[in-house]
Amino acid sequence: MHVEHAALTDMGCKRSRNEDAFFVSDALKLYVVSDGMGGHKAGDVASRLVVECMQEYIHRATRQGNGQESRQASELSSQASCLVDAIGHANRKVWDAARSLAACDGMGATVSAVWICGDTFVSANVGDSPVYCIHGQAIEMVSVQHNVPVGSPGQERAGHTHGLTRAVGVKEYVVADVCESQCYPGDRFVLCSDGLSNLVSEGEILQAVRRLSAGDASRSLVDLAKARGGDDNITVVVVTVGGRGSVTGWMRRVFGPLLPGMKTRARRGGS
Amino acid sequence: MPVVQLQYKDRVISRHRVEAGGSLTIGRHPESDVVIDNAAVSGKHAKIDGLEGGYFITDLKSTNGTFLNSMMITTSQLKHGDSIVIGRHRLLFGYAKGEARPEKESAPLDKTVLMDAGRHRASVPSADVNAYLSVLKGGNGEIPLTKKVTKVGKDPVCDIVVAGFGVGKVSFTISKMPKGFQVNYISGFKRPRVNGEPLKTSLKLREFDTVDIGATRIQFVYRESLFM
Repeated sequence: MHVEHAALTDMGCKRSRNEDAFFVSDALKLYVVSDGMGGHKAGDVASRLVVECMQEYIHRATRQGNGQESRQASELSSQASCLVDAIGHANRKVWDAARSLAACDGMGATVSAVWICGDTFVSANVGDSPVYCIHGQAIEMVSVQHNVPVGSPGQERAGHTHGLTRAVGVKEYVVADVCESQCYPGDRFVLCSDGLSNLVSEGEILQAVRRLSAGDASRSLVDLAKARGGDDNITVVVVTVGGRGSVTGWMRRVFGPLLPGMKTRARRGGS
Repeated sequence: MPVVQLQYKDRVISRHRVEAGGSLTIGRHPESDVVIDNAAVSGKHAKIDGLEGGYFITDLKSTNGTFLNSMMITTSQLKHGDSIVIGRHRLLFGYAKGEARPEKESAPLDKTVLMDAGRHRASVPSADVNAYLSVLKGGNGEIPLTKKVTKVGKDPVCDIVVAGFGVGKVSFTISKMPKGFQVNYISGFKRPRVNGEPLKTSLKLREFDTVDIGATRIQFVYRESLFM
């Protein structure tokens, strides 16, 4: 399936550096957003390291192609376990770097990734950078937020962690939450840092993504977050599935029933 | 015997004793020793064990975590005066006056803690045990939805193999999303029918929804576990 993206990152209005990092590739069909833990040392180093490791790992895995069927016993598909392994790999790298360099001690980052494999998607995340799936009129968060709701007591003194309950690179091992499902032409995915999701609601993201092109939507969402204070770095990645092919798919669906020959072709094309 | 005091906004709600060799469970579930009836608290949220080397707090894979002196923990030894935060509630741990306290309060007990982890894993029910597919027609049995994606179709690799003219190799899948389950049409010119309606793309499943494919009827059953 053809995949397109638009990605945008902005320092926001209050921070002096951008600790968000992202990686997008239409060739790999891999999209990763990472948000360095603010207030910690070297949050930007951690987030950059995370996206580089993810890219490297997935790139290597897709080139080797098959270590695949060996994992049948697990509850995940081979792609999903590959993505989880990539996060584990990134965690290892950040953890090692944090311990070997004094300047990077205690650094960590979130990671959210979407990988489109054929006509399914796999999403995995650690931390509080959300991933939304927009299908038809509905928006759904397919990531699991690893944070403490704002205002709970645990956060009072540990404020500098933003109440994260999991992060990449702060422990030797990390457990990612995974979601995999089917995606259909016209579906969109939005990956963002909490700089956006704390200021802009799900409904507003849905509106922007449904009405506008991916590029315009990401721009307008960043502008909206900045207009509301923009107190953190803001990163938005909008992924469109079946972007270019969707017009013919739509034509087929409308005119297909009128033309028997076209109907069968549409069915074959659709399956 | 050490005492655990449950507080909410500096008001003491209840006091509980922890026996050496015993344990104290904390959670929203009414059978917990310390019941905290609040949406932020998991059914089985945490527990305190009196073991040989002292008293230990263990988080039972709760949704919102257990904090010991503002640090998120999974297992940790308790010292006199420690404050455990669960949701908006606070639990104060303290030894009684003159009571013997463990000499080393620095958690030297790798072995005990490990054992403990194994035991708690066994006692934490999986969230998915109660979500399953029940075959109503064209077969029988129940298929628990433990995988992220459960496949239904003609192909023998599917989790549920269904025969019938026009049924796809993989006709549809049921995927586990963070908020519930979703049924997705995949292939085959005979589309699955959810509650009688042909499935176009994907749909959220509600309890007792039925899916017909070929001569088979499957019902989705999902009960939220008491302990989650």
